[in-house]
Amino acid sequence: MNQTGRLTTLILLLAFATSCLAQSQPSRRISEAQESFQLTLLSKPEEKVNAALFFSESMFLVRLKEVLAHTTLEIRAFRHGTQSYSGGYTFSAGESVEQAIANYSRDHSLFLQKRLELEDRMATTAQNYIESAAFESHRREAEQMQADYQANGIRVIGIEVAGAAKDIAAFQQENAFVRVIELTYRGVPQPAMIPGK
Amino acid sequence: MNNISRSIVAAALAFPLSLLAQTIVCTATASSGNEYVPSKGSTTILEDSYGRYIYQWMYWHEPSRLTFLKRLGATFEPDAFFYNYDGTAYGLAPTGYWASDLPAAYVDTQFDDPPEEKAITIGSGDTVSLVDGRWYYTVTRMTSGPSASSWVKLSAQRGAQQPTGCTSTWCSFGCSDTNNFKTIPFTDHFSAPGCQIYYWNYYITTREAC
Repeated sequence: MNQTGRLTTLILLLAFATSCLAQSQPSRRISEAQESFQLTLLSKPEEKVNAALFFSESMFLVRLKEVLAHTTLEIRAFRHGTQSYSGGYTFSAGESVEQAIANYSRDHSLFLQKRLELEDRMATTAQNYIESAAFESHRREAEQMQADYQANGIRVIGIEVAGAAKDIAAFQQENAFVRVIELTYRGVPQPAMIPGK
Repeated sequence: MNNISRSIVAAALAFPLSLLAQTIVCTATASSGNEYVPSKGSTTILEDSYGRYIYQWMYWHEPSRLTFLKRLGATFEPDAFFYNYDGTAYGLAPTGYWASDLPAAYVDTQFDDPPEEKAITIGSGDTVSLVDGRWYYTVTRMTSGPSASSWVKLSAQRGAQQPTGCTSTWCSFGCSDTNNFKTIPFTDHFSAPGCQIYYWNYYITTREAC
């Protein structure tokens, strides 16, 4: 192949690679996460890693507490959310699962109520009908979240853990609701994987 | 191309950038280049018996204000910076509870951040889904600093995935500081605890106490 041919091939390869990268789909993120974790598991099963474990469906905190009672993994955070909102709770140093669950529930309720109070005050600054309607809509969403919390509590969709790769893999084997294990890296933020998406 | 090949290409393309810097220069959009700054926003920073916390709200009043954020691969981070040049920041880092209705919200970390300004940020990893005429909010508890009060700066920061479309954990970079917009600068001397509201190229451009 002459130089022009090689250059053309290189450009085509780069264009193909770019087009593949441009497909941003949850399924791609999931397959990349699985691949990356499997590589770590095979090469360094004893190495302590940080990972986010996303569930196939949401789980009540009470049920999750029972599950976590049997694990040796270090729990770092809880995640909750739907298509329209998300959130979580990051453990403080030395905080137990029981303490964290109590604080998580308390703050979820407190901050929903506080949000309603503050937004009612902010709504008086609306500049026009459209902005007023936006405030009303936002308030209704908060009320819906509050009603959902009162009916069901917080529904967790994932946890963040630290532990040996082999122990994290074992946790997934014992708990079929763990859909994806995604390694996390210091300094890199990570949106949740919503069940069913 | 299989997944392994994609990962190799992604890593090869992203690695040199990560070596160079944690930020990238984003190409300005057609007119002012500020089509990511909210038209209106507000922050409330308070303390209760369980600790300190910060709320932020933001609102884009028309589609043109979201131009940059509608581009494939854009990211958005509404930062709150607590003044710590004298070691007295009111808030130090996100901790405990957080929530948001920004699309694909995440708590940003302070990795590699300078200690003079303590950033508390919940960002959006899916800005294409943002819509005009809708309020968005974030809230998080934060660890308390040594002081009962300190200045706060709010900044709208846009970012970009590099390479475009890559959503893996290696590929998200904030735009460099010239592409940040200070919606409430330190020079306003807004102090936490407190509440401040800003309007930017909306009916007016101004900032005031709530």
